[in-house]
Amino acid sequence: MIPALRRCAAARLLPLLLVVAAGVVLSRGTPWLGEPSWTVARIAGSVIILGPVVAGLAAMDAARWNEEQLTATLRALPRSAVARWHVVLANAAVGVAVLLVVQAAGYAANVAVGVGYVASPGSALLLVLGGGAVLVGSAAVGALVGLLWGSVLAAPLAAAGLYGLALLALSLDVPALFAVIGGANGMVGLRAATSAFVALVGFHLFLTVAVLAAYTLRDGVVRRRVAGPVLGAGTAGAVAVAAVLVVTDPDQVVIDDRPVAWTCAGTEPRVCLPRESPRQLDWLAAEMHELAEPLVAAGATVPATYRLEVPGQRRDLAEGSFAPLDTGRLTRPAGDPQEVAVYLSTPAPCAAYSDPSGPPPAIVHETREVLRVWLLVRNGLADPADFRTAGFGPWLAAPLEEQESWVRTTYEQLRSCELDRLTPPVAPAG
Amino acid sequence: MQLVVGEGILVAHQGRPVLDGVTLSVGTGITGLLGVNGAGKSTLLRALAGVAAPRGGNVRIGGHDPYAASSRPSALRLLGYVPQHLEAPPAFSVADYLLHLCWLKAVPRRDRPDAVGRALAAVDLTDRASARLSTLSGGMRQRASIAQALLTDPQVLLLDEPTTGLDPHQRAELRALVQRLGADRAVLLATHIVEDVEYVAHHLVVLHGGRVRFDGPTAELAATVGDGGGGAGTVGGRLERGFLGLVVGA
Repeated sequence: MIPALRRCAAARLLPLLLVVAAGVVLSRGTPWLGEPSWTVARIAGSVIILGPVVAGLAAMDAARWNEEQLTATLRALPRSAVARWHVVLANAAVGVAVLLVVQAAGYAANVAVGVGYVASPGSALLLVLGGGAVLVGSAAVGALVGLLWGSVLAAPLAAAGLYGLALLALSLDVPALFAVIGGANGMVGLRAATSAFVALVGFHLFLTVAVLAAYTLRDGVVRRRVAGPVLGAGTAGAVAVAAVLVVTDPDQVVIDDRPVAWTCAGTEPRVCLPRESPRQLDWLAAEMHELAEPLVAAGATVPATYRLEVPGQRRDLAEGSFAPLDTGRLTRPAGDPQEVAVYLSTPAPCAAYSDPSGPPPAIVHETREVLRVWLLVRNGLADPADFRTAGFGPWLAAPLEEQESWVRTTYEQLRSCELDRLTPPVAPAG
Repeated sequence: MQLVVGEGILVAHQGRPVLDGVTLSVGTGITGLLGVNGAGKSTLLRALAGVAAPRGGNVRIGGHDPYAASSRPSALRLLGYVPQHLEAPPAFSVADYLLHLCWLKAVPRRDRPDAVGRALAAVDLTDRASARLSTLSGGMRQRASIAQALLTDPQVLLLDEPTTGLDPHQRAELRALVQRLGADRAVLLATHIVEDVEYVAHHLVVLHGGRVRFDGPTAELAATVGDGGGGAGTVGGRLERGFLGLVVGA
């Protein structure tokens, strides 16, 4: 390895880069732990901070290699035209290496908690490539700022400028050319959009080529036939790709309509989670079985299978479905029984629940809420006295046979999606 | 053989001529390029070193044009250029700096350690190979700068004010080093200090106002003035008076 690569600012501040990358990834907890695809996306998303840092370091290096006497020395050398490419390439390489190390650590952490399956390796690869491309482009922009400014003050300027650009793009809802979007929520049922990432990688490739050509033109003493056209082509390519991205505004993450691989556990009901996010499966199956016992005792027909709702997947009306309010809750080893009671009160994914023309009738929410509370009370997880003032409070004090009768009827109506036949529970007279 | 040939070199800065038709040739041995500050010495060395193309005239290094794409590699291979001050990113050690320069000089990977070892030995810096450049004294930095020029064992050395900023002891050491290097190379030593060239240069070029005022054996310049008595009666004194006579009278 040539010394300039070992001595580049990013290499010397490698621990800082690792801390920055890890800090960004861990800054909002570890909800991604338990879903490798989500982990990949979250780590790729860290380039929104890591990129400006790499740009700042490249700018610092470029400014230091800009000294007049050093320039004179370099220009008297056979490789003068490429003498400063390493400022871009070395800092970019270190940045990409940091990203890969953190990705490897993230995957290892997932394997350590028992989840190694990646549903779409191609999607994960696109996210990694996109993140790497952003870092390479960031190093190129930083080096260009350092080359033009020639002062170490170029470092904060490049870093702040690039970060500001990313924030501005996000706030204006235009494509963020220096960011990888993804990682806020789980990636189950989603994938990286090939066209968006190919364009992102292309943009940074053109940008980097243009900057390297600019270096060549600046440092080359004799007239270079190739560098000028390459600078023009790189600049034109970067501008064209950026324009296409701004006009078409493609989503970086889209719904993946390919079949999901499932893993299931338990009985009465059997619970199924995607194979790529199964961490809570055992706990959930046991908890669903336990909380469903009062339903079974009441004579209600609990669906044989409960399956996680996944975007883009057709739902089977014969199965129960559930969707956590926050996908991060599913990657924890254990969840919240209160939420499991919500899942059980939805024995079928009725079309009305996702009807774009409007929400289902209020009675649906009311009856599911009563069912949820009843399940919690029957399982000893809630006190009926807490619901004394609720409309169904008196009903909770009714004889068990009366409660079970309403539950049995209502659960069947919910299971068969006969929502217009739903009625609220009626408290006994007197 | 004349390894460095410059003919009618023209360089202008902001419309004002810095070098105005400079012609010179440098063969094996040490040639002093003497001139006051601002005479155009550094500009001439940069033009000869292939750093900045002159507006007019020709430069040939070993017969090769350093400003033609086809012959530039051949010209630069023969050349070692030492600018006035060594500047390098502060994180570099001496050895790292030289290894990096080996890469930029296209020295084959397997030959780089030997090239660095030879260059360090030539300037007596072997024991400071791992020292950071920023920690070296002025004299050592200058020797490190000369070491980078020696990496390819060039036939031509262009030294720009190598003794500037050095104390008398360091200057004496550096002059001895230059004398050793000039035994089998063509060395062009630019300086404004007569003492630097007095004992080591067999040939002198005096540059003033962008023009060559004298080009001949060192002894010839000293001989142009008589012995005025006192200190001026020494060779050095006569050389200085001859030089001053050229530049003050110009």
